[in-house]
Amino acid sequence: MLVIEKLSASYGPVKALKEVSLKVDRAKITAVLGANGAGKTTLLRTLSGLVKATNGNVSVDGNEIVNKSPEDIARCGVAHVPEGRGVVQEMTIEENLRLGAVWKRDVDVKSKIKWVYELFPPLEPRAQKAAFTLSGGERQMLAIGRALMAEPRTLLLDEPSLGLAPLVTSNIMALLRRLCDEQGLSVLLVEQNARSALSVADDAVVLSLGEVVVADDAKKVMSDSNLRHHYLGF
Amino acid sequence: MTKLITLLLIGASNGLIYAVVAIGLVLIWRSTRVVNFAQAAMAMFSTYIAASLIDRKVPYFLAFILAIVFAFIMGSVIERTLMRQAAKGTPISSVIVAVGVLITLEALAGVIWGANLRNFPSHFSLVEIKTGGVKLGISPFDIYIFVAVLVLLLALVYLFQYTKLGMMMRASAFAPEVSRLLGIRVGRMLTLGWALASAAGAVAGMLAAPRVFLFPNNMDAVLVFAFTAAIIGGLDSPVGALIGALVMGISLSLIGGYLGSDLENPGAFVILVVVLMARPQGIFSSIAERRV
Amino acid sequence: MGVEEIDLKAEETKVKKETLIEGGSKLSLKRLIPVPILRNLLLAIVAVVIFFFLSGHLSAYRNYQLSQVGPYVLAILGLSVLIGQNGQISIGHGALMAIGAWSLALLQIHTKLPLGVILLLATLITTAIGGVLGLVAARLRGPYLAGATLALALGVPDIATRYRSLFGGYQGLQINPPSPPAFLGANFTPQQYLAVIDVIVIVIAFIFVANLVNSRIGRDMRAVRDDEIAARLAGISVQRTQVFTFAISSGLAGLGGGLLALVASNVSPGAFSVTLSISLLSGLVIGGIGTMAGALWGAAVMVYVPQWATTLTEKFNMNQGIAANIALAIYGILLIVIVLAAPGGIQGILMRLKGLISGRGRQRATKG
Repeated sequence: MLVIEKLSASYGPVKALKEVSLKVDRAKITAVLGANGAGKTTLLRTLSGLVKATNGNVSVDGNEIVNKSPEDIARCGVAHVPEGRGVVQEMTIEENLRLGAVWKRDVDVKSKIKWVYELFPPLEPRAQKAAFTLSGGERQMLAIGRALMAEPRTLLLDEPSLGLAPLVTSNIMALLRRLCDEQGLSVLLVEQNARSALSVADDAVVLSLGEVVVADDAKKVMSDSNLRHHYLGF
Repeated sequence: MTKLITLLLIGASNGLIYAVVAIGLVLIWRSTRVVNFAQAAMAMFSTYIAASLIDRKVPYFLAFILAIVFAFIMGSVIERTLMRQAAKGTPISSVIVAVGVLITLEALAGVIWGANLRNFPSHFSLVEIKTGGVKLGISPFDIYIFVAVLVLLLALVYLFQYTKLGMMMRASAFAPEVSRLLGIRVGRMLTLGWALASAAGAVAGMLAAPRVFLFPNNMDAVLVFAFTAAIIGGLDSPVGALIGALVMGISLSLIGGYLGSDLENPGAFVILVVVLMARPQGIFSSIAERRV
Repeated sequence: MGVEEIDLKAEETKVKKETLIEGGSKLSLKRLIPVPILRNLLLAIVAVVIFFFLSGHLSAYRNYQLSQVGPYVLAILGLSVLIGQNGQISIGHGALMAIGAWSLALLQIHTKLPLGVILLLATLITTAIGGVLGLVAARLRGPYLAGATLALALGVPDIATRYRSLFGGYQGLQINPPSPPAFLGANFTPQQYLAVIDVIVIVIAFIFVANLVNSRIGRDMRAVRDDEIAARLAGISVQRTQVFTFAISSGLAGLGGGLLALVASNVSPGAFSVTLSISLLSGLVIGGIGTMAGALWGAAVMVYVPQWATTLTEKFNMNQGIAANIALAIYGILLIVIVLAAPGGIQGILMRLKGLISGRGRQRATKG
């Protein structure tokens, strides 16, 4: 469970986040929507410690994580899949997966890798190839698979659909839903592609200029054409 | 003909020493995008530590290991206290701080141990091995260099390719931000990279010193040769650096043997410029080509 | 010296602000002579004349010490233009000084040209060689360029030992110190003459650099330094600007080398080691990158710190070799501390102090 209370962050003089509060329950997906520059990526980067928060609280499963280092936050069970896929291109697929759990002592790496290959079958035959040989969709699979290696309880996803074909996107969304239900993951899903994010999310938050302007049930947001039109452009 | 063979063998043997310094440069470049101009001065300083231990009747191999330990600590401290601060400035700041470390270490060595040439024990004979009256062109010391460098390289390959620690170091070098998100303590990996590079430098210094003697500037030229070697290898590739170093060792040995030893340093400049003009990304680099 | 106050980095706006503040009420030189070139020229002439009379009152040793500063001022000024204005680095300016020094020595030995012409030719030769090196430099960035220039610093002195008959080998070449012309009178010592030559050359170089930096070319240099892509989009030829800057910077170092040859009356490889190049870089950073006054401070540090270290070692009966190393250790530590803690160098610290004092003064004035 992820609880964010009045979180603020700035880039120099620019306030990128203004008192953002939201909550993601266990086994739930919250979609974070909004236009470019609304602060979606900044929100995730602040949660994972890459950007310092100027104010506010964040807790995961009861642990305060705000302004800890990214390494420590990762070790609290928060996995952040950054935008642009964030695989280590120079290393092989298998090495990337092993990196996912590299700090964890009590994890059975071999069976975990096998499990990721079952989730994402296209990865297995390429196990020993460098990650830069993968297609965009495969890189996204690798990045998510790697994030799952450390058995996180909170998953932060930044634009997983960016640049992917609609079919690949919907497969990934369906898989997210499944993981969330089976593993009890709390997922914070940042998306530009509001339609596909809302199709799997339980709750939705719309950010505009760093502030939460809408926080509601995902289905309600989806059905409110006025709201959709105003903030989400469809 | 025998002259040529001798020159080739001497060149290869020197090349192995340049290789160790060059690999130190590569280690640091890969993880921090800094060319450590202090690499050779750090090597020299550790060699002096070994020399003073040997003067105090510490056995050669114990002194060798203690100097490596010293170098390891020195590398960590320099990274932690200076280079990490410098990295916050412009890219030129890092170059200048590295040069500052270079000049400070050379000066300190001069103050502590004096600026005169001194011998450094080779432990193995520098005289060519003869079998049945035929000179083989190599000395027991050459064999020692070969074995020492081989052991060092294999140890590094093992560390980087087959251990968790090595995997974390590689990941930190290629993608520091992503690595932090994966829970890897990137800062510690950078420190470790500097420590290892410094330790490798100490090995190079102790292997080079019996031939070039020991004095505060004794590794200046070796730094330039190793830098050129690393550039030939693309700065990113340890194997490329090894090949580059052998090319440098042999070329310089041939230049020195046939054209005069005074032309070795100018020769290194010419080789460096030619390589940089022909392929700025290095001859053995595959990674650089993908980066736009 | 008024020329000192020209901060190379000063943006046009800052200059305007200063004129507004200072020119408003006070009678200032800036208001009397609005054209900067004329103002600089006037200040320069005043400086030379003052020094000319002052030098007569200094001891021969003081004059000699002063004349030692000159060569380094020029070389550091050259580095300052290169690094501070254009963002290219060099750990090899000692080699360019060597080229200037040998050019001067060879011209003095083999021709009968007057001193001024020889200095000019030595400068031009180094500028030309610097232009060729600049073609290489323009294709390299950051650490690659640093490494290439370091290799240059290592290689050049060995050329002199290799081609002994031309360049004099380890001993190098002896040259005659210039003797003061008769019209200056019999009391005018050679040391005094050298110091005056130094000051004249420095003043000319300062005026040249000040005008260069304030010209369109100077703006191009800074544009390339700040953002190459943006400069290119603005129609600036990045390569040409970099080659030009490298040539000018080399020329200044060459002129410094020529002066060094005159002051030392000898040119030998030992004087142009890698350590010289590194010391020049240290002098630049310690004095203050990108400011003209910084070159003066840096050069003073390069001359006076070793002398101070020598006195210190003599006092404690230490080995002579240690003095040089103490000076180098001071450069090294200052270099690191300044880059990390006070990137403006001595000049930056002075300007900050000046700002503090004048700021306080102004506050007091408003209160009263």
